[in-house]
Amino acid sequence: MASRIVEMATFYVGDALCGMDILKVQEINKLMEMTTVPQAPDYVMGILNLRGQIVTIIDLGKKLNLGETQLNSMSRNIIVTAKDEYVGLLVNRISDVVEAQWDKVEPPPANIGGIQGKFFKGVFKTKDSLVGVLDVEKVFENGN
Amino acid sequence: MTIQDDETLQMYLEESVEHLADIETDLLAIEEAGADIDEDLVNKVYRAAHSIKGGAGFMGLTTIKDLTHEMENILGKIRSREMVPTPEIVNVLLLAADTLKALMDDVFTSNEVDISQHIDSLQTIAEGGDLSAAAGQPEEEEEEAVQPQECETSEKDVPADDVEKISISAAETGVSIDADPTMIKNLMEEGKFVYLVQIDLLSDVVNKGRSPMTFMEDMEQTGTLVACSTPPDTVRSMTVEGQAAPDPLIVLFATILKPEDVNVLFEIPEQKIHQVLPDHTVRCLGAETPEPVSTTPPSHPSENVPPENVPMEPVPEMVAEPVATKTPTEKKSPTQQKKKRKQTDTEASLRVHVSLLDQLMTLAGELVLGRNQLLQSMSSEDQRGADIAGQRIDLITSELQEAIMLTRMQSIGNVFNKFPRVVRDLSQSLEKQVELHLEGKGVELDKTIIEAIGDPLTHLVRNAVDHGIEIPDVRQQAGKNPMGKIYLKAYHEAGQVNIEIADDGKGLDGRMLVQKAMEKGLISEDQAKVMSDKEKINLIFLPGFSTAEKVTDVSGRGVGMDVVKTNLDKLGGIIDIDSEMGKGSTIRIKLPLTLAIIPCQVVMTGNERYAIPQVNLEELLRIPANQAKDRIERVGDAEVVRLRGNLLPLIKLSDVIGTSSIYTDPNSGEKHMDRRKSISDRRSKESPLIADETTVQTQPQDGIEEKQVLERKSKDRRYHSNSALNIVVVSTGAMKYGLVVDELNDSEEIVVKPLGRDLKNCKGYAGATIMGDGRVALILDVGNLAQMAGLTSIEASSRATDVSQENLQALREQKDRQSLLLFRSAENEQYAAPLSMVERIEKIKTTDIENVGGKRVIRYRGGSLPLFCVDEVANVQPLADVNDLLVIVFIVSGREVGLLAIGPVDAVELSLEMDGQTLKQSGIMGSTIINDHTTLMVDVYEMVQTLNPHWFETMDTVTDNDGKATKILFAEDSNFFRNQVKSFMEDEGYTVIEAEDGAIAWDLLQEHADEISIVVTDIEMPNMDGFELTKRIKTTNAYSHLPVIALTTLAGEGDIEKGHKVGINDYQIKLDREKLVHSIHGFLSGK
Repeated sequence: MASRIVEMATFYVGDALCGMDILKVQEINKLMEMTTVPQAPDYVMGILNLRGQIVTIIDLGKKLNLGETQLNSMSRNIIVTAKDEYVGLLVNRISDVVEAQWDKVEPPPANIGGIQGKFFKGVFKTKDSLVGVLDVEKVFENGN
Repeated sequence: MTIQDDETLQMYLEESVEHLADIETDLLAIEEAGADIDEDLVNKVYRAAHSIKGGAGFMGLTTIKDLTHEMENILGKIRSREMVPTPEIVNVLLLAADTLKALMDDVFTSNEVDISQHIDSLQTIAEGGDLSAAAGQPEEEEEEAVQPQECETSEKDVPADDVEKISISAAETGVSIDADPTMIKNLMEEGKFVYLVQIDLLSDVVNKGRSPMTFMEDMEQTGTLVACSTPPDTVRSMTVEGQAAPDPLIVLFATILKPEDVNVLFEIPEQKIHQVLPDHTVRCLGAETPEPVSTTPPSHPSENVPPENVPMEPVPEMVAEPVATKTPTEKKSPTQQKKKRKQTDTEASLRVHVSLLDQLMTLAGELVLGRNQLLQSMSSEDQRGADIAGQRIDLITSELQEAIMLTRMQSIGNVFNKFPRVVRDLSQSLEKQVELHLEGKGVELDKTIIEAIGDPLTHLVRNAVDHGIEIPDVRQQAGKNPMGKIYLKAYHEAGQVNIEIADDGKGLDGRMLVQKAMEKGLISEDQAKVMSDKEKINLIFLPGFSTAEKVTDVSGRGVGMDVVKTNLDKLGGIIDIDSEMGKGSTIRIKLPLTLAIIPCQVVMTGNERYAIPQVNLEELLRIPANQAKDRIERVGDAEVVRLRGNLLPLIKLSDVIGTSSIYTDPNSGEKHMDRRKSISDRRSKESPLIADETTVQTQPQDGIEEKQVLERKSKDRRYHSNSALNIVVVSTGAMKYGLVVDELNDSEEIVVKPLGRDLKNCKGYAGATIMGDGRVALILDVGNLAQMAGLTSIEASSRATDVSQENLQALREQKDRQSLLLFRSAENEQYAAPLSMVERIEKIKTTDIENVGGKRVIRYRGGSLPLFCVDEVANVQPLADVNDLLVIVFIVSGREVGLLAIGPVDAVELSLEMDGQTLKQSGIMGSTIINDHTTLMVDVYEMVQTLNPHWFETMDTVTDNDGKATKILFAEDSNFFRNQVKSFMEDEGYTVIEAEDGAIAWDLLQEHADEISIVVTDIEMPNMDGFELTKRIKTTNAYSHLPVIALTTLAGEGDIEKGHKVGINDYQIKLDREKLVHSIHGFLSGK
């Protein structure tokens, strides 16, 4: 495979630095007023109106079993399209956009910072850190 | 096939489908009229059939052409009153029309479709019709007698000598013929067209492969021969040889075929056909050609242009008018026809009126103006201007919405119109008499809804005919009109469309329904007791409920009303039944006008807004705090409110969805968590909710607030007006209940948006919507809320869903169902043994047990029954030290043994999901969970073998000739049983080849063909079952000698018989080791 350069949006989930293909990202916004959904699975923070679309906000930390994401001025929603619908991923904070050479991406270890390896496509090194490449589809695959 | 080009074909098809739609309704009308034939109607159908036929011939659609031709024949006879349209005849015609429709749907393969059946039946009628008309239909003749102006009678007039004749001639061609003017007049009054036709028998008839004879017949079938230059009989017998061209035949011919269609019959140049107008002048059909036609030699088949391609003047109006003015009887006919035609137009296309489009355009323009105004006001910060612009836009938006909605609206008549046929066919096949009344055909609904309600409505109408209306005898006995009535009614009410299907049949028997539901385990006896009559009737919506005593092809397959209900639920509609025994049933359906935008009531609970669709909304109720005590009562553990003398169950929204409700302090405007647990909040000692409250109190985070609330509770805070109860009375069709919410807000029109995947499991919501302030509000699904809150009738339906799923599951797992005897040895360890192995159970006292020779026995029927207990063999808790013991008697190796046990004993039948590993030890096969207890399956055989090894030494293992162990092919899909039975057989010294299903077994058999001496197979297996496997083995020469033993858990008589048929040699119970081994041994040694 030719060396493909992928731009990655990176962000922190708990203490783990994760990244995803920036083309998957619709937009990143600050927390907006959400409508809570009683009886929803606990990782669902609520739903909000994104220009006429109903978006489900998911606490990525909870979803990946990393514990609840603390809401503060740094926390952001990453709106992604997954399986034909908009989903917002609540993360602790956003980090840089980095370029990754796809052939430098190594297969994921069994776990990264306590996250199950199955949610990752691989890991790659930047100058000073290790980024886990999140497999967004996988995250939503096992509904609960 | 010579299909010309797509466009022409498409046009033809569209037109034909329109014709067919008309044909159906018209045929039904014709049937209804019976002997009192409505000429116009028959003519219309005839014409429709004829145009279909003509087009088909042109397109090369021979099958369609042949079929319509036969239909036309019959219609021709009906028209000429040779035949009375009896239901049978109309039936055949309708069937043929159906087939035509099917042919049209798949026009490209239509020529390959076999329609001989229809042709045959049509022909039989066409031939036999004469007979029956002569023999069996005296009324018809009477009919003719009293209507002297009819065509046959007038034809009789023709030969009469005293008739004055006039000459009709086409000046330009010099063609002329004498005819009887009154006859022509009569024919025209019947709506027929009269044509003067010049036919060259050689080029127009013979050279086209027709004989003069068939040509004349064709003509007579399609119309009336008024006059003919050569006597018809002469023409018939004429043989036209070679080039000898006889004189052209001149014919005055009356037919219902319109000028543009008539040439389908003659297939001659247009110029040779002249239409005779009422004033006895003629008009040439090929009028565009100015030169006299007679000069053209009438012998070029190439000139024979197919009628569709001939440019023609639109003439029908011109023809119809004089006819209409002449006879009063005909007056309504053209208008009728015009009306019909107009209707067809709107049905066939989704055309939008230009006026509507114009309106939309204007509104769009206004919207733009409004926006400009708004933008300007905003930029200049002109608050007043913005207000005005906002109001304007509000107005325009509503109008725009309405106008756009209109473009999507279709009349429900589109759906209703098919029901007369449905009812007719069904009532005929069920031998019932049913009359269908349609009302409100003009009610309009969104296109998507129209499309979606077709099936549910059909189902309901069919149900009404099949289940509702009784057979005429029964009706008469009940003192009713033998003719049953079904009313289908649509009307607007409260912004919704209501559809009612009412019958005056036998009605629903609530008690019977309850009984049925209980039999099927859909509801419990307790539930049944508390059900209202209405709830009982609504039981028929439960999944898996069917009242038909026998399954007919009409209904009774058990997937009836629940499917209807689900379909309607999907549309946001609700369905409701009222029924009175012996009087009939009424089914009411409420549908929203459209799916996209629905009016909703907005409510507030726990600081969030929720929307309740107006469809479900019955009324809003506010109970002042000081009345709450009196009006709200507890029945059982449910709270109900008294509403106009009825008790209405209450559900607190915050409880159901698990939020906390908010109480607004009326003085300070502060919001507090509402701590009232019970709605009426009567702190009676009996209330179980008191206990709840104490648990709440212990929750640390609201401890302080809780105390305050408790303090306040002792005061009269709920007498403030703001603590009044807000109740939304909602209805789900089957029931009404009150939903208690914190606040009632406005009612709004909302746009439904779907919820994301992660929220699909939240049953309480039907979707979400965006409110004016941009926030999202959830739309409540009141049906599911009631279910979540456990209100009776709906609980039953969830139970029904469960049960029907369980049943399915059970069906699937039936193969592994086992009857087990449950018992205990120590108090807290549950054991199970296959019931089939248990001989009997005895009660004994501990003192009866004797210890003889190191073994425990009990004297029993003059002998000694050896006793043992589970803990002797397996490492389990010792037998409980009690006085009263049970002895479970098994027969092992021909001897009785008793297993000591204690109660309670129970027999259960369940599908085993046996874990053959975790708890397996000697004497224990494995474990399973029964009634929430881990249960050990005892292996009696192994126990006895361990304790009394010498009992088992008698049997020799059968070996094959080489002294090698005999191989057994064993097919079984359940892991547990496979391992278990395999070990039985291996213990006996056999080699076992395992297969997981029949297909694998079959492959293995072929692989190891020479080695296998016997096949043991389970019956129920995936891919290939035991029957099929056996069948294959027995029908293959190489294997047919192999004995096959089938293993079952429950051998039913039917199965055994079926098994014997396919060649199963023996049946054995799966876990009856001894018998199985004996059977194998028997087969092998007997070989």
